Amino acid sequence: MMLLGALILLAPLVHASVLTLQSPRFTITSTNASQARAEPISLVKKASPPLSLGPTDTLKITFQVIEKDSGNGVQPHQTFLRFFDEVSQEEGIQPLRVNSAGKAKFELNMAKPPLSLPPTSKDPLKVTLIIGSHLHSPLKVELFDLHVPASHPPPQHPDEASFHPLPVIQHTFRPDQKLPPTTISAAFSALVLAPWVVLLGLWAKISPRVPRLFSPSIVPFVATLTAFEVLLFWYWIELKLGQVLLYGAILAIPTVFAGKQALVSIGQQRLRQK
Amino acid sequence: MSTAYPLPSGLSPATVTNTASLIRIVTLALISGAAIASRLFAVINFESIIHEFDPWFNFRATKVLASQGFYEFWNWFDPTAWYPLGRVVGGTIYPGLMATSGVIYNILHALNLPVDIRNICVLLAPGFSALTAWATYMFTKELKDESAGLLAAAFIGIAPGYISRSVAGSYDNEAIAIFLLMFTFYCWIKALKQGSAFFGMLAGVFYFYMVAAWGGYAFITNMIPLHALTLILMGRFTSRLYVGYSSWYAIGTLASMQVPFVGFQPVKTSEHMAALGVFGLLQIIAFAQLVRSHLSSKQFQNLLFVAVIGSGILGSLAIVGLTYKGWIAPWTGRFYSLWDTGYAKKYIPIIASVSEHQPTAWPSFFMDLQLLMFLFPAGVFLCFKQLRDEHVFVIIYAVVGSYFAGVMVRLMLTLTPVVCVSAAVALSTLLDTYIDPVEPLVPEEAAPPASGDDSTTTSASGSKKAKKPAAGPSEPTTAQSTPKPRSRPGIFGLDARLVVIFNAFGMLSFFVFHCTWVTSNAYSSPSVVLASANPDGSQHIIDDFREAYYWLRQNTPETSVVMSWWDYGYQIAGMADRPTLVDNNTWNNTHIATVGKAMSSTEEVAYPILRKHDVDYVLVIFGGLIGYSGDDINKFLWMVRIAQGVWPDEIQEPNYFTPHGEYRVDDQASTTMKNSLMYKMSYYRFAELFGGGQAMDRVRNQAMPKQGPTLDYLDEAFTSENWIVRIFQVKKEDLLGRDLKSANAFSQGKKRKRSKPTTRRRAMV
Amino acid sequence: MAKSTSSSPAQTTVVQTLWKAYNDQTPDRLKFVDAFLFFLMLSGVVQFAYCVLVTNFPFNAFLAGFSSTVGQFVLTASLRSQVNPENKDEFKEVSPERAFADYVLGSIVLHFFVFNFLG
Repeated sequence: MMLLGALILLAPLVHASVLTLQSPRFTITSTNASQARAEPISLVKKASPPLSLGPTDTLKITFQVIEKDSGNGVQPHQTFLRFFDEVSQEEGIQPLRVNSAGKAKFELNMAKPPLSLPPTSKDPLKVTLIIGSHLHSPLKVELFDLHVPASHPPPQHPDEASFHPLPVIQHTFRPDQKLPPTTISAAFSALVLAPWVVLLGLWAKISPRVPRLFSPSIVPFVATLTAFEVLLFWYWIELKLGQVLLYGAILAIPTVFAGKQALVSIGQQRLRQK
Repeated sequence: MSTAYPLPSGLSPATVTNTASLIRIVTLALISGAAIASRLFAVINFESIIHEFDPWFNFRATKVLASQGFYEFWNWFDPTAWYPLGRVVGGTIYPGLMATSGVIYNILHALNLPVDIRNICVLLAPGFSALTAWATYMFTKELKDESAGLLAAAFIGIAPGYISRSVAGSYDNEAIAIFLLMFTFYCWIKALKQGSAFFGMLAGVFYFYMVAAWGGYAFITNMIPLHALTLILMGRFTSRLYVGYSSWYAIGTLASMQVPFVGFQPVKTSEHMAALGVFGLLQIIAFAQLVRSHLSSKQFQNLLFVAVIGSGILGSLAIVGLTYKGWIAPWTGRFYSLWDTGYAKKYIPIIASVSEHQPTAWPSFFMDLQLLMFLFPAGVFLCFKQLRDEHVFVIIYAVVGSYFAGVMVRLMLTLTPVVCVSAAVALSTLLDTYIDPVEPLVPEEAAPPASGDDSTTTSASGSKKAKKPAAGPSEPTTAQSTPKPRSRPGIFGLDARLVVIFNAFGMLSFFVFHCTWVTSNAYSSPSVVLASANPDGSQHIIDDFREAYYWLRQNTPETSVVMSWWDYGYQIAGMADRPTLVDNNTWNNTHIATVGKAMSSTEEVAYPILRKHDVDYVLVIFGGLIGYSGDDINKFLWMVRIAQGVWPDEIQEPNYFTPHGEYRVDDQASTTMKNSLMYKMSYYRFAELFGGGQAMDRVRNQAMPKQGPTLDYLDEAFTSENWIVRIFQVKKEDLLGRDLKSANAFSQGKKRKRSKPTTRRRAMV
Repeated sequence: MAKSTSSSPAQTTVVQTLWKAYNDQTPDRLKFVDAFLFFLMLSGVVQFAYCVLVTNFPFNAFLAGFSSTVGQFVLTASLRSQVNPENKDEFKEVSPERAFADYVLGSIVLHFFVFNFLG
């Protein structure tokens, strides 16, 4: 706990110390041991024609990690070379071994490429040096671009077939059903109402006698029946089911009595006529 | 006129009638009481609890109805069922049952009787069984007479075939549907007999109630047209038939379309077309009759005849054509499975997987109907002898009902009423004949009683006397009025009568014993609570289901999704109140198959499925410890089959059998079986329970291997007292991004085998 | 059939005799009912034609309207056959008054469902 506290206190101090590379250098050697190219690496600018390796060439990188202020060699905790293909997004990480004086050496033999070298195509690999140390601020140096012979394209991940972004779901709805044009509706409304004329005409022709329609025994029955129809019409307009059933039940009682009275009187009349 | 036993004399006919009707009312009340009482075994043996599976949903829906009102219930969308799809409940149920209990609940509360909604639901089925007894009485009365009606009421009151669906707590649609069925039939018969539009309308209204209550309404939809058609073909068309049928169909069909779940089906699907066709036919015939009444030219009648036949053929051709064009939906799979019993197994395994959809085994006819099964053919025969319109109905019903009961176990229910009715007719005829105190006259020639005159046997007998031999005193008045000495068959002497009557009563009392025994032993188990007997004979209650569901309710967040096989969906929703993936409303086969696939594949395959469906808990039923045979391992093959129907490449049923074709769970079980999620969950740590002894699965009677399965992707969360319900928690993805298997291996301290890393780069050659 | 269709004059006479017989034999009351039936039939035919020719879009409204005419038709036809003096033997238990009460009750129930379905 104490230690941790001390570390936290120290943190701003050590952060100030910055690392840098001393005499970074690369060498490309062919199989016949002839040196094809050997240049120092600039930390500011990448080597101008990108490096290019043949199938049997060897790339060698050397550098020393030093503290910028004091110039002492430092052994960082983690040192990686990152090979990154910006086009295919393939990358490989290669850990480097740095000795206590901060000196490091890495050899890339294309005849026997390390496991970390990613699958490549014609595009160059961006080679980056990443240094991490908990006493210094981290360092990331873009070293150079590197052309290596193309390999087979990367193998497909087994889940590739099933895992990929799905297309956005497009909901298709049934198209709204449309009402026909008003003229047609109106014409058919007229047509539907037309039979009423026929009905009234026929009834006028037959002209039935309803001698006792307005007699006191029948009027209440007709009235309650009309009330029922009005109630149902009202239900269509605004009432709710429960209300209709309630009102209907109440209305049913007088209707039953009125109906009984009316029908009994008619029945007696019928029997008298016989 | 000699009588076999002395009759009291000097009673006025009015007294006799009044006494008879009083005795009838009392008997009917007693029958209702018996019907209710015999359904209360479940409450007495266990407690007032909702049974089984579907009733739990009905109960849940009723609670929503009672607490939130009708319109809310109508628009209820349940997001917790069929997670993540949800279910539109209001439009996919038959609301009759819930509406009935809701109305009863509201009435009781309006009367200041604060009854719990659960008790209403539990006792609804027994209550309606009393009404069923009454409706059956009315129906049978139309067939024969009151005494047969009383017998039929008694039979239907205690027949196990009906009790099996209507014990207290069995809160299912059938609970009220049988009453509605019988009453609709009664109204139909009455409408037909009287030619009354009132009864036709009543039949239509009750038909509507039936449609709102049970999917089996299609039985009425086809029975009544079939009856009408038969009558037409028998040349028995009358205006009464027209009035009854037309008013029933016009009102009933329009009303049935008000139920959202039915919708426009009555005019669009083939199941309902028979009714429409007969309706049209009746209109044509009625019109022809009208024309013929005004005209009696022979040639014109021929023309009419041809026209009727022609339009009938045209009509059916039109229906067939519309079906082809897709305007009318063809028959559904459930309907086909009624005709071809192998159909469901081939095409719709989900229907075949339900045990009550299996064909009926012969013993269950005896189990459910016992004595009635033998009286049933006799009753149908007696119907043939009279063959009035209503007898034709009973005959058709008997034939159709027998067929359907043979196809599906659950349709035993629709057969039961007609069996009770015709058995009552048979038995009552027997008792009429043997209790009738009038002895036949002995003619001088001593000719044997001729069998010619049938009708007098029944018509001469008066009001009541089937129930009690002591109730015979009403006889002499009617019998003496029409002395037909020569042709009247009858029985001589008291001894012959007593032998037969004692036999009949003996059989009846055995029937009562049988019914009581079957009801109390076979049909009164809630199946949510199980019972077993202690060594000393006392009852031991096994309450694992509720234990587990309440564990879920109290120990998990309300949003955690529980996956189980669909059988338990409603119970989890009802008792644990947690979202479920699938439930007993099996509307989405693919969703069910997904669950089946998860259960029947390996952990590695199942895990992404579980995670994608946000499953937090997986619940399995395991009976291996106490021998509960309805567990998930026994249902497992159906899960495999249903999953196979959707993913035939990934799940194959034969892989779950041993090379010898056996279904085993022990050492010899196939690798696929042993690696399946269901197997692993069921037997996880099962062997440890036996403390090093031989682990035995008591359901399958197989010795389990010492080394049980291990689980990497799930954690055991809860196991109930008797291990019937086991709940497993689905682990979240590993925080470090490892797959759970290696994470598990790491935490168990197993060294990972260091493998050489491989390159992804392959050089061009 | 063949004979009668081939001789169309014969058929027209048949229809004429039928019409005559109907006019002569039917009481005015029944003619009154028949006029109503004819009206319902026309109305139903027009609605059906609209459904087939134009659209069935508010299908529930169409069904409500159409089945109201059909329902009313059969109820009225039932009433007609119940009050028809010729059918007196068939409807022993249904007096004309009872038939009318049934008719009214059935109509109210029918109208209730029609309005419920109309939407």
